Amino acid sequence: MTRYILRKVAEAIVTLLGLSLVVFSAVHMTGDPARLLLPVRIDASEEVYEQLKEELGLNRPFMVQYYTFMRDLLTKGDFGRSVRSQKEARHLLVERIPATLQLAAAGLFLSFIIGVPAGILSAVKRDSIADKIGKAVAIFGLAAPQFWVAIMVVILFGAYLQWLPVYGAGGIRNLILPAIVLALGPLAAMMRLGRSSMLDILDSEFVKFARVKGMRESIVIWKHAARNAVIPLMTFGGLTLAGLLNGSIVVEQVFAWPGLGRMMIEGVTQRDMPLVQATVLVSGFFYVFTALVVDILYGFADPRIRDAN
Amino acid sequence: MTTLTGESGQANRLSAFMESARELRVPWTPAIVIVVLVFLAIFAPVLAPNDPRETDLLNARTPPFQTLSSPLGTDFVGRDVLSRLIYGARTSAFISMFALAAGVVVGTVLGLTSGYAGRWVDTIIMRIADATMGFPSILLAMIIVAILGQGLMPIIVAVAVSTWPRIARMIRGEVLSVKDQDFVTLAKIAGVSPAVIVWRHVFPNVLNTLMVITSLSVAGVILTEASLSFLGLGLPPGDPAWGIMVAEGRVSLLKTWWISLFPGVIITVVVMAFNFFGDWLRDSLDPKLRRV
Repeated sequence: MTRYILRKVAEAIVTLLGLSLVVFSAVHMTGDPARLLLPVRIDASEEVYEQLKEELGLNRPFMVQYYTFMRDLLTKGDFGRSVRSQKEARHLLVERIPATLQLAAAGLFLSFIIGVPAGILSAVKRDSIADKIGKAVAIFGLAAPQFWVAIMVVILFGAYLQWLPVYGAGGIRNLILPAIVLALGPLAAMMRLGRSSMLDILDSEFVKFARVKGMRESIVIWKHAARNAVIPLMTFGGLTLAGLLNGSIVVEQVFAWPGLGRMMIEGVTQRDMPLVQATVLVSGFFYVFTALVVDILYGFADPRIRDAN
Repeated sequence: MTTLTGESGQANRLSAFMESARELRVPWTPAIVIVVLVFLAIFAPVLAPNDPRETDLLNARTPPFQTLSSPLGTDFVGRDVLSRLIYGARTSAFISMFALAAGVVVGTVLGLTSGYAGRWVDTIIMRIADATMGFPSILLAMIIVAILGQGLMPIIVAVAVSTWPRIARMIRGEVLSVKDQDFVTLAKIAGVSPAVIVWRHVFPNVLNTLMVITSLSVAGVILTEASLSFLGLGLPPGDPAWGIMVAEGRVSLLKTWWISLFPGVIITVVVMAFNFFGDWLRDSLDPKLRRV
């Protein structure tokens, strides 16, 4: 088990280093930060430009610059400064991260709490009306673009019915609609996966045996079968997280949610590369970290996984 | 007499065709949706009643089903929504086709290489594929758009990058099951070069899988393109693309709901059609992929 965990941690570190190198070189390629930092209105002479370049260390070789960046990042948590606002990126991150985490957690919670029981129910009551409705929801949830569902929700519940706020962060009420929209895709996937895994389990020998033994049907289903059907959904957690991060970019944009996703889009459209760098690295870190946790949990749950290779 | 046999021969052929179509259980509705989409994309200039970019401020914000000239209404600068939707089919089809083609070529080449070469080549390619596949595709696309700037080319690259890893993974898996078979070993003994073995002997055997995984990737490609366009990371604003149209409707949501509604419905229907079609192709060509 220790070897398995160590290997997974090492893989995660390598992935993050690779990501940082890719992002850093991307930023490096997109333009000269010294030119961007020099305000346009001042007729900046070549000397000032050269001096700034020297100050920022842009004259040094690429790998040295990368090393310096990583050193400042790891020792001081320094992500550099926004080109536009001149604020330190880490302060902006600290403002934005809680909002995104809140939204992602709510989305994940909703998709689990609804998707898993609904999938199991679909399998148990196969071909019933409930199963058919579930199937339709899943098909729609996997096909409808999230940004569009978000906008339709804003029109219907926010503007027309005026039930819930649809703009910005705040209390629980602000969280409800964005979280539902964010959860829709993962929820659909979880329903489908839960259904098929439950169908497999219901068909297995031990369930048949439990039934033959005369066990009550509700105990067979919820105590024995459902428990096993949930295991494959765990690995799906990692995938779901990628989906949630993807979705949160779009959902944050529509609901004006002040999170990392919006910061990232602002960075890209305003060509504020240090911001893009900071947000991508932080999202990447969250993603890799959760995937690592899921992998390790899965290693505990299923010995076959950790003994492979 | 001859005409009679001729006719009955034709009738036989027709009924045989219908019979085999029934046996294949072609999903007609999705198939028709896809054919209509391709038709719209090809003949957009002929079919669209108006110029998708022409603004007409006097007739802006016309609601749908009011005038014959703009049956689905006009947007906030008076562009015809129906024409923009038809041209949007063209944009979507164009970007998806090139992105998919790029993703398929890269994925296939890397998958074949990875599976056949094995060892460290395999490890490196599959590590990169896993890292890319796990990473949120919009995040990835944003990095690419940040590097290359906005436009047609960056969006194609961005979508292709999110497509290739899954294809490479599937192809590699198939290659592994093919490469130890006798005909490959015999070719090796005969001194055939690895490149020729892969191309002439391995590739034809993974073609079914490739077709299935390609058709299953279409829906994702369309959705990614639409999301990027919506976020303003794709084509310049004003261009007729479904994602951009949904975003444009946000200007005055309550008063002009139709600008956002129609393109979204179309994306949903098209993605559903490709999902169903891909599922059908998988079940009929390669049932063992059911769990993909």
